[in-house]
Amino acid sequence: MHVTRTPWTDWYVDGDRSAVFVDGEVLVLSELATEVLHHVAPDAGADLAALAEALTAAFGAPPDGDATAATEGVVRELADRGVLAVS
Amino acid sequence: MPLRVMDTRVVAEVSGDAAEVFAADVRRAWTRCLDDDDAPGEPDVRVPAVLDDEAGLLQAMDALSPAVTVAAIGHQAGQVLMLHAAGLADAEGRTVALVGPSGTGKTTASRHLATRLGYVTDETVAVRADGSIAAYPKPLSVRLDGDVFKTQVAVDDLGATPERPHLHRVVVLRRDGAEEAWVEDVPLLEAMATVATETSYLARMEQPLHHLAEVLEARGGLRVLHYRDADQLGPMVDALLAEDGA
Repeated sequence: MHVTRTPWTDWYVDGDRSAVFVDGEVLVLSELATEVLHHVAPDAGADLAALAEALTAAFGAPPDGDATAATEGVVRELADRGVLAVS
Repeated sequence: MPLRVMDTRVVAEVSGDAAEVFAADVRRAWTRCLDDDDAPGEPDVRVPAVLDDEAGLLQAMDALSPAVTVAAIGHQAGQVLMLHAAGLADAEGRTVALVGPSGTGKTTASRHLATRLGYVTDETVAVRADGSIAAYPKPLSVRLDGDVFKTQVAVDDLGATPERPHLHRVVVLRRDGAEEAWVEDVPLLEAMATVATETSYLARMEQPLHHLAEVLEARGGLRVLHYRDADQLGPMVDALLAEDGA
């Protein structure tokens, strides 16, 4: 799975959290979602495996050990809100 | 009929069989927004205002107010931060923006507080890049008992609109029946999300979230005023105006 940014109006980072302005709405993002966005490059995007690795490095392995599935859950939630696109 | 609102020259093009009556009522109600008839240059926006039957005056005046607002905010899109807010100012022009959608008490708060504070607007607080406010001291739109349309109440009796109002504090009005009024501090990101829903054309500004964060942080962040009656707001607004900064 490849992940890219949608055309945000703006993204504001405040410590570990952030707010993104997309489709006329301002969404407040958790630490986890903010970390994901940090690793999705503006043009190139990122692969799911690389994102899972980055999240594991930042937060440790998820309780069930499946970092890829956990990361995909966050990515799909962000995609549902229009923040990311997946292909 | 030239009006000056939020740095925008809006001409209400009054016409129709009852145009004279309509124009006289616009002059009565919009006293603080009337612009010089001989002001040079073209208007920024023209708003048609037609009245053929005097019996329709209340409805026509009710329709004119949002038409002027929409015209002005459209003209200012991307230039200034436009908050859906009432603005009340002290003698030095320090202004508290009381943010809230229609029906949350902005006009009632304006009527109550502007008996002793300066009236900046009951509709839109337009904040320029330097923090100064482009005033919009429109008539108060008040629904009187039994009327379908709102009456446009002239603001002659309200506190004078300061010459140079500037944004001092930003609060959200929450008329939730709190017997003891209280103030809630809102974390920055949640504040941005809250205020963003009560703006016009925010997306047209350059880096709008960064700008909003800067505006809020320089004004002590966002507070929510929980209250029941407008008379509870006075002491809270006074306390905000007494705070240092901005």
